[in-house]
Amino acid sequence: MGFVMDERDIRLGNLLAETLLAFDQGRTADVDRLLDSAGDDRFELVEMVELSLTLRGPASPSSEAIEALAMTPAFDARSWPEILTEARHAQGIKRPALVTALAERLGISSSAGEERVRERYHEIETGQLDPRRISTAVVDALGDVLGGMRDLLAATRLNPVGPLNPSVSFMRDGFDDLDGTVMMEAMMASPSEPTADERRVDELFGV
Amino acid sequence: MDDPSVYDANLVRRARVAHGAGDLRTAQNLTAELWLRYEKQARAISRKRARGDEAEEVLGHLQLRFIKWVYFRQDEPRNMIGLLNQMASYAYGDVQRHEASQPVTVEEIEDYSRPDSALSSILDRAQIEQLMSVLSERERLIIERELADVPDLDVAAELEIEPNNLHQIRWRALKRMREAADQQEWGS
Repeated sequence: MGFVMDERDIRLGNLLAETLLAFDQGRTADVDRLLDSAGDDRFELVEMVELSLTLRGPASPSSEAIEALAMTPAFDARSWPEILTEARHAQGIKRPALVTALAERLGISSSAGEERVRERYHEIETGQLDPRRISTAVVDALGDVLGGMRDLLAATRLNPVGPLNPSVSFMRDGFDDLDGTVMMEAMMASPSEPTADERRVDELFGV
Repeated sequence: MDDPSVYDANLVRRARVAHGAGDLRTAQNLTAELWLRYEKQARAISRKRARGDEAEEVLGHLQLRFIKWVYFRQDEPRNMIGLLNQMASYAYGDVQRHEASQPVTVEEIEDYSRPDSALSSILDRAQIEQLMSVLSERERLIIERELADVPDLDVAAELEIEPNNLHQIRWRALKRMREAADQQEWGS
């Protein structure tokens, strides 16, 4: 029985074979180049790659590969309050110093603005403010202040913060760096219009 | 051959138990194993949504969604390929939002259970066998040799055909299997 040669099927069949080989050898740039070379048939080629890989079934990764990947930031299962508290304590950074550095990196210079940064940071560290809401600028600034933690914070901001620590409701533990008198005065003060810096801080923290 | 979906479900269950018990190291290892089992497929799926560097960004967000799904959800996995396809559409949205400096919205997704195509709803070896029943004897042999990791040159020699012909026949065989999957409407 004769076999009908079809130029398109030959081209795509060859591209599929080359793409799967590139996949197997971890040559991602070549995978992308080969897929793009299919032109209008790119999507169909990707689907056939996917089908081929589906037919092959899942891989059997080595224990070394598993353990190496498990230690990358994306797999960190801790919540932000845990990560921030542990990092701050491990590096011996007091909260006032962290807040000052954070405000500086965010371009907040007024004392009212810095005070708002302190409040918002406290809310994050105690699980009262959802990290999902805060801006990328804050994630990056916080990561830098804590020393090379950008990737970890970005990867873990979706982790639920969980129930609040009971001590948070009493505030005193959460504000361990703040003088009690100042705290009382702040709570007694009548509300006023937020300053431009305070509004800016709230915006950055997604409040 | 053991059904991979049973092994996958077991990994997910153990990871969630470990996570719930605070044994994060074990949870991380089990989840990393599950991801590595399907990393190649995830890389291909991300290419259905975007190209080049943007596809790599989709893959990164897809990985994050996958990990959070293992740690924090309760639903049972049915089909990892279908799950990854579903997540990839949301991961593409993550990339768009990230580029626009908008907040992430992972909490919006409640249902990852419905596959987006018949192809991605293939559940187990039995269904693959069923799909292969539409193939001719030669097509079936070519697919089986590929699954057994036999080099193309050896298969071409066995069938006494050129590699070009082999690739063409395999391409057509896969197309017929895809059409058969569409007609089966699995997952509906």
